[in-house]
Amino acid sequence: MSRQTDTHLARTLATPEFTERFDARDWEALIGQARTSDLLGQLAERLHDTGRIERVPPQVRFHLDAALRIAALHRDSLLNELAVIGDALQSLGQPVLLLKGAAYAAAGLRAGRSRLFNDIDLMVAKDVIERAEGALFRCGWRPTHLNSYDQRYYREWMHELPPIEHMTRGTVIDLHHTIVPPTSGHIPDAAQLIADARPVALPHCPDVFHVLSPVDMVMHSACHLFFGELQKGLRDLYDLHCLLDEFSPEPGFWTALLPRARAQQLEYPVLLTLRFAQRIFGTDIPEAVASEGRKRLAARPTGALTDHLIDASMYPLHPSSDSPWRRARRQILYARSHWLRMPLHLLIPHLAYKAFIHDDGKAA
Amino acid sequence: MTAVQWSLVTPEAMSVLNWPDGSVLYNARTTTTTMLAPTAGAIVARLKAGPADTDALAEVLPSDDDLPLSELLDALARHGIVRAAG
Amino acid sequence: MPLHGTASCGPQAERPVSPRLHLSALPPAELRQRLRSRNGLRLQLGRFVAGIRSNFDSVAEGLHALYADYPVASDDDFCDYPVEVRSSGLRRYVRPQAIFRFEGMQPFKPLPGDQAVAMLEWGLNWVFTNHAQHYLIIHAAVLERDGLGLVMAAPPGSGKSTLCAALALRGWRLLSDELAMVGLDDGLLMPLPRPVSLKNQSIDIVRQLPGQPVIGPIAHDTAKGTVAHMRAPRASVEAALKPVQPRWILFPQFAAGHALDIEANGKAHTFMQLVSNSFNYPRLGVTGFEAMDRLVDGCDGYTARYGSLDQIVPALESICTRSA
Repeated sequence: MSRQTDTHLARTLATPEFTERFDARDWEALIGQARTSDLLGQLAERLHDTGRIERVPPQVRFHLDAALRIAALHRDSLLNELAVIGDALQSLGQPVLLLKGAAYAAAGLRAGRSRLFNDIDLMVAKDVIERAEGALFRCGWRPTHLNSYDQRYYREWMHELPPIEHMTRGTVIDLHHTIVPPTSGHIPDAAQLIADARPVALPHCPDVFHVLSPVDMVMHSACHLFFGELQKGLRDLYDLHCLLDEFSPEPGFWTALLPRARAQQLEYPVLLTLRFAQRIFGTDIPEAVASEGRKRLAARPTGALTDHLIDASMYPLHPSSDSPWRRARRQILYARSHWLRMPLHLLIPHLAYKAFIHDDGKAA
Repeated sequence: MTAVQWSLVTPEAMSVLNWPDGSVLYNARTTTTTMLAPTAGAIVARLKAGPADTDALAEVLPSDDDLPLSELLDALARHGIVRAAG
Repeated sequence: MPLHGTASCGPQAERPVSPRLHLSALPPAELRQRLRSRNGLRLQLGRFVAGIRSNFDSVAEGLHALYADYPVASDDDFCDYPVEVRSSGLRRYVRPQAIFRFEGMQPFKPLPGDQAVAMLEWGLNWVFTNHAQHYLIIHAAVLERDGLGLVMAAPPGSGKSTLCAALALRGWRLLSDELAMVGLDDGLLMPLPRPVSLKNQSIDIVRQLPGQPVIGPIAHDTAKGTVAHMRAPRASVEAALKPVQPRWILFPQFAAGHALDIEANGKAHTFMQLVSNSFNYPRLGVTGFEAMDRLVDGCDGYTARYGSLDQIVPALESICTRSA
């Protein structure tokens, strides 16, 4: 019977001393889980911060150093892209919010250190979003979803425009006007989010960029994780763990978090964040907030089932941590993510289209 | 009347290597690598040190070069490498 | 089973330098068994350990033919890259398909099962080019002579691998047939000797060369035509941890019936041609630009057109010598 390795990554990120007695098989599980979860750079940072990196075998360290190198390149290319985008969107004369990874990096937050960036998520007020899109078209970005169904799906039902991709550099921008799809039934006050955002200054870039306030940033990242498909569940939860940890000392952060989320009708994902961050990474949450969160989650009818499903998505998709049962539960979650974002009368035709018509088109 | 001032479009993002058969320009902003004629490379290398006017740029060109400086600068400007300031 | 051994991969553990078990010493049954085991066959490829799993007997035969001289790493060693070429499901009995996996992920579409060995080679190339990011990686053959490195970069079909095989059979040290790995920190060429990939008529050309080439299993009708591999010379495998200073960069162009024509290249032209043959140059940003500068600056560049190995081999042996 082989030793349990399925929580090596989460436990090491929470407590790097966990690697003390690691043998080669343990290191392989750890590195493999971090590779498949897009957390290799963050793992390297964590081991550096705690001085454990000096005790990592050289052959293993090679891969951690390579991850730091790649992450630094990602960061450089993100900053370059933001400088181009900043130039393009300066003429809007309105704040442009950076969301998720780009926000963490631009604001110099720990969650952004050595994190990989895929798409760049931007948010502007709804009444300027078409102008923003036009300005980006003029700088070389083009729609990737040319299919008219996809275009209509995004424009009618989503909180963002279809992704646009740069013609030569291939960088992808998601342009949002709010933080959750309107079809989900949650209507946060986008104007309020923008008004409360904080400016960030970037090198060689006009001052157009802002990031959400700490409470709103946590709320948005929580929505993104728990209303999403949870494909990168562990990575996104680790982002949230880092955010909570870093914002914790800010005066008023903890007292504002749950009331603000409730006022914006987005309490549920924040409650799940508190539960899972504490369970998986041992996040330090004031007892009053944690117990309030437990009480409110317990009051929800499908609590135990959802809990069980989400738990499966917090294991890396790696042979050392995956199992058929966990895969099955992730499939259910995938369907759930659509159900959370769309009313049923829209969802069923949408999934049917995706499952049959669309895939057929691709295969042809 | 003062001579036109020229500068690189994004000096902080540009690196240039000069060799007898040509120059290689890397632009981190656009992530492009471009080969330039040696004279164009000399102009870019001069502007990497800071903005310069037409007279100063004329000095880095070999006197027997047959392409007029103005055409060279126009071509570099069209490719988004240099720009004329105010 | 000696799977969990002692924790010799603990803090500051060094790789043992003692003589290792070589793959040729494994009886066929044990080789197949290791390929089917949870940890796979641990093969030392240059500075990396690949953990190879496969349920294809052809993979066991291919490894036995092509990797006989490679050290087998011990179970206590850390495996850098776990890979798998597997036939699965019903198709295993109907029309076998080969699936490649790295860390459980499946980066490519399956191939017909009779291409399993070639798929392992291609999959390993993919793993190195996507994960060994301490190197500027160029699509090139690399050989060493007199302690200095020759990098031959060319698109497929230019005769690069045939020339590479011919030089290796004449005693040049093979560093790689496909991947020039230029250290970003030291500018040196890191050896990653692996079998030389041969296509179509070059298989027979190489088979008839002196120097006792060993050719592995032949796969027909692949995306690249008929494909086979030549085993890397033993001396090259044994020197696989010794990096090399690059000295010459050659762009070979084979054309049947062509007379020999070698010309020196300017550095700017060499730079641009290497960029177009590089796998990860764009991803490395300014770091890649600087590494390419160092490589080009320290090397003489040539373009060679030739119509036969008899022309180009002696010419290269006169150019590539450690002379003043």
